[in-house]
Amino acid sequence: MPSLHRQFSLSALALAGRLLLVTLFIPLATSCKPGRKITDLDPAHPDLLQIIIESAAICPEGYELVQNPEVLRGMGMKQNPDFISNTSELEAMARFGGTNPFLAVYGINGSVRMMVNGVFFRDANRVDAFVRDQEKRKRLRIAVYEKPLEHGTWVLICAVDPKRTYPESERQAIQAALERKENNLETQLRFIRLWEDPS
Amino acid sequence: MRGPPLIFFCLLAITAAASDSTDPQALHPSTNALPKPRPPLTPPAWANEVLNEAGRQQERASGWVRSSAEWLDRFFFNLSAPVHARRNPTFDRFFDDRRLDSSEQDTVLRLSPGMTLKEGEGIDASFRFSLRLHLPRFEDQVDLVIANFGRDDAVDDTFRTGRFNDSPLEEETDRSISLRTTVRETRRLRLSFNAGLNFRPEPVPKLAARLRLEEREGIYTRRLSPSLIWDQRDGFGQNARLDFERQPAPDWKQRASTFFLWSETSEGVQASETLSFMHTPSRKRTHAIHLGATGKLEPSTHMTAYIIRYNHYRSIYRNWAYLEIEPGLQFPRERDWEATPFINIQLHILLGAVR
Repeated sequence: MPSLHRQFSLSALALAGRLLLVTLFIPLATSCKPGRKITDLDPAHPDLLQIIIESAAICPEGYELVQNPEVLRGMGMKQNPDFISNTSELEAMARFGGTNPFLAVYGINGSVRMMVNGVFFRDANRVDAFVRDQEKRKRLRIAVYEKPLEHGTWVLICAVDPKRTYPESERQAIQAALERKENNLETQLRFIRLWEDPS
Repeated sequence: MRGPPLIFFCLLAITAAASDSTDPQALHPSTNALPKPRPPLTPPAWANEVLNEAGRQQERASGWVRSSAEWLDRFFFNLSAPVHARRNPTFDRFFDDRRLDSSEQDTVLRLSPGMTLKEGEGIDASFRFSLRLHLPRFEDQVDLVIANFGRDDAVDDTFRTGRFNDSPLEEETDRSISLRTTVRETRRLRLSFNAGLNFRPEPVPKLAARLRLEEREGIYTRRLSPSLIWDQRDGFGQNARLDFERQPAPDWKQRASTFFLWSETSEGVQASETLSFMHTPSRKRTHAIHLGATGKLEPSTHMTAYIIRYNHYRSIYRNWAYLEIEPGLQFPRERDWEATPFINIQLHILLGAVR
């Protein structure tokens, strides 16, 4: 009996230890402190968007997540950020082999200034064709990043409004945010055409 | 009518002054040898400025044409698409519509001021425009065509107004708008439908179904293009065109075309035959000679006209300004087969997706 009691005590202790560990890690996993390294970017992860957006600290200084109902409704999103459920866009991405597209909309006072669009490619070989297609669209002012994983690749596209002239302070804030994201998510830059004059 | 010729000649003078009139890489047609290099023409500074400004205006106008086409395409798509599939303009402004191939931009607005000098009829100035709005969101199969002249299916291309006054119907058609859809297209077959309105000046609905069957064998091509046409005012009609083409060299082409037409207003079966010889020494210019005869087969066979015309089409400035010069002779029965010289001069300005 003593040994049984001792075994039970050890099990309870182990359980308590695990619970303690879990409770310690939960806040870490959902916090948006910049600089934390990413451990799980699986598209099925329930907190994926929070992990990507908040951990990356991609929100430029002075910007906020904009609740633009026109964009959210148009892209079939319930909140910002969220996964896109607009079937036209899902079909377009499926054609390239991309899945789980999400969108984060940033701006000032409701005015959309920057968007971050992520797309997951299970087949990493199909990323190049998509990036080449993006590169051909000279009108767009975008920066395209890639985050290879074991089971696929995330492509992150940061876009600014091609029809807007951004003041130097906003440019610097966006540039700094992109650098933060690049460090925090350890992404690789494919190309950047954010500040070129649209042709 | 003084305005259009004046504008035309101003443009002509400016562009002719600035453009290098020959392609330095073009081979001499008879000797097949490279011509001696000529010192490059150096236009005066003011002409350069005018040309640069013209280039800027063309780019601006092209951008406007493209964005208008994009807006219309999205508008028509969103009208027919369910809510969850409609495109969001803000998203597309930032990221583009990824369903569309970025290189497939076929919307072109063609402005064609021109004039025809014809013996006995004086100068006839004209200003034509045609806007083909490509609607890629409809599976790349639909074009909206708006023009201030209607394509008249009752006339062979060789004998159209401006080249040969054989179509009173076309002269009555001031404006036309039509939706053209390609139902099926393969290497050998193309089936398209056209629905629209001709304004004469009252709107007259029209429908057309066109089939093109093509077969290539080495340097030979056979092409049969039958059409079924309906016009609310003129009723039903059908035409067919049979082309035999021979291309002995990449820059030379010969073609024999036979055209038949029957319609409720044609008073029998009309037919025409054309022989064409075309030479394209470079991408920037092409020459062609056309010899044609037209007449009626039924109820009794008789010729109505013969024609010979030379056509020269060339780029005069970059890839958006072209000049077409077409002198010729016609021998119409109505003038007792008397040789009637004519010359057509037309400037073509392209705006939009210019390649």
